[in-house]
Amino acid sequence: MKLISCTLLCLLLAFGIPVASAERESPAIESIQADFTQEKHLKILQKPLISTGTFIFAAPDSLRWEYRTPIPSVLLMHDGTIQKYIQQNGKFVADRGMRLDSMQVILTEIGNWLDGRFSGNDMFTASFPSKNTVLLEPKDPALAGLISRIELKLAEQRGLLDSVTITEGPQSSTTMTFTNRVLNQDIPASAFIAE
Amino acid sequence: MRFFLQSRLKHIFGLIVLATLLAGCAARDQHPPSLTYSQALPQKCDGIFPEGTWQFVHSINFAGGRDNTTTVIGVTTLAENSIHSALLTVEGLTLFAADFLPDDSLNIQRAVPPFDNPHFAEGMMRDIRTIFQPPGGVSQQGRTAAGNPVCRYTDGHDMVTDILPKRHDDNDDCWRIRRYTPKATMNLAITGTSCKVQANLFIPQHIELQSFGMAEYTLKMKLLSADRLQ
Repeated sequence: MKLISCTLLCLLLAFGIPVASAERESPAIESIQADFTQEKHLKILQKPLISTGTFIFAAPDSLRWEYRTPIPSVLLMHDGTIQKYIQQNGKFVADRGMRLDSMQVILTEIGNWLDGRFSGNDMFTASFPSKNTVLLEPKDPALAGLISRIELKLAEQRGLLDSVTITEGPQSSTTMTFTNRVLNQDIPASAFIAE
Repeated sequence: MRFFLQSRLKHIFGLIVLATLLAGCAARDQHPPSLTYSQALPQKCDGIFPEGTWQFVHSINFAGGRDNTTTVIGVTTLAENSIHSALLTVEGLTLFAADFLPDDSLNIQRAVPPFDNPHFAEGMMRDIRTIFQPPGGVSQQGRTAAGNPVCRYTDGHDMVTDILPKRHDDNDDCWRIRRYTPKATMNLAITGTSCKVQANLFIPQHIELQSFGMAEYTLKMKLLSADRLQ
């Protein structure tokens, strides 16, 4: 379960990457906000499973990843702690099934992701098949058993991502598409703290 | 005053724990009710189980012990006599995917720890089959002493499954399923509530499954979608 947690957080952070283009300098990122639509494709699914939500990131390492549909949930990272809450019976309760105690290791990757530095990443090998595509493949065989690759599609606008596709295996993938992206607005710390 | 309140809270907490344990014991020790058998019942029990090809997507809250609760998304596709099932995190990561075949064998395509435990797959198959497929074995129809209709199935291992369709005086419960071991103690209790009719099928918007015995856990399922497939 630790490996799952590490993977999820790494992916979540990757979704918020502001990327100019591979390995070039990007503008300083203080905060990012965006809406996302998530499509899950799976062999047994007759139609993709659609989820929607928003995310907020504030440098250096605060994150709010919130699903609105189909299951309202919030994942919060702030001041070195990680918490996840899921709505049950109209209330948000702590989700204790996913162990997140190993997340501190992932936080060391944040600076690299935000600066668009993919090479030299301890967890993934990066390649650049086209000018607007970054391909990440896991280095750890155990992680590779969960995720075969991550594909990032860079937006035309310097510093933003259009989509992220996580491929688990044949006929199994998750694609997130980002809209209404806003950079560098002031974000109160309360956005990353459970109420 | 503060000491008094703390003492009272501890006392109340202890009573709650005791009541919970007693309730659990009571449910565990429940035996199949005595029935008066009849030839036909006003409500068919078969209307509870899907016919044809269906796909259901549920949010599933799993509570397996103290402070151990998590929510996942469950996808179940019923096709002919096979069941295809997957469990996903809210973030879309596939935790478990398998086919449950008519001969009770399993074809596991993906199982992320701790879902790679073989007992987990077997238990999941049991639970899904109980919810979505009519029990096997000899069937009888009858009524309890209170007059409630029951469809009772007894298999070759003396495992008893009671299907309790919605009672005429029941405002919400749409159906219940109770399974009893050969020793006549309940090991599985499933309650469907807030049923909606779709393609002549009573589909609960909420399902609660309680497992007793060696593995005790509770699943609370909320329907996200139900589609009849061609």
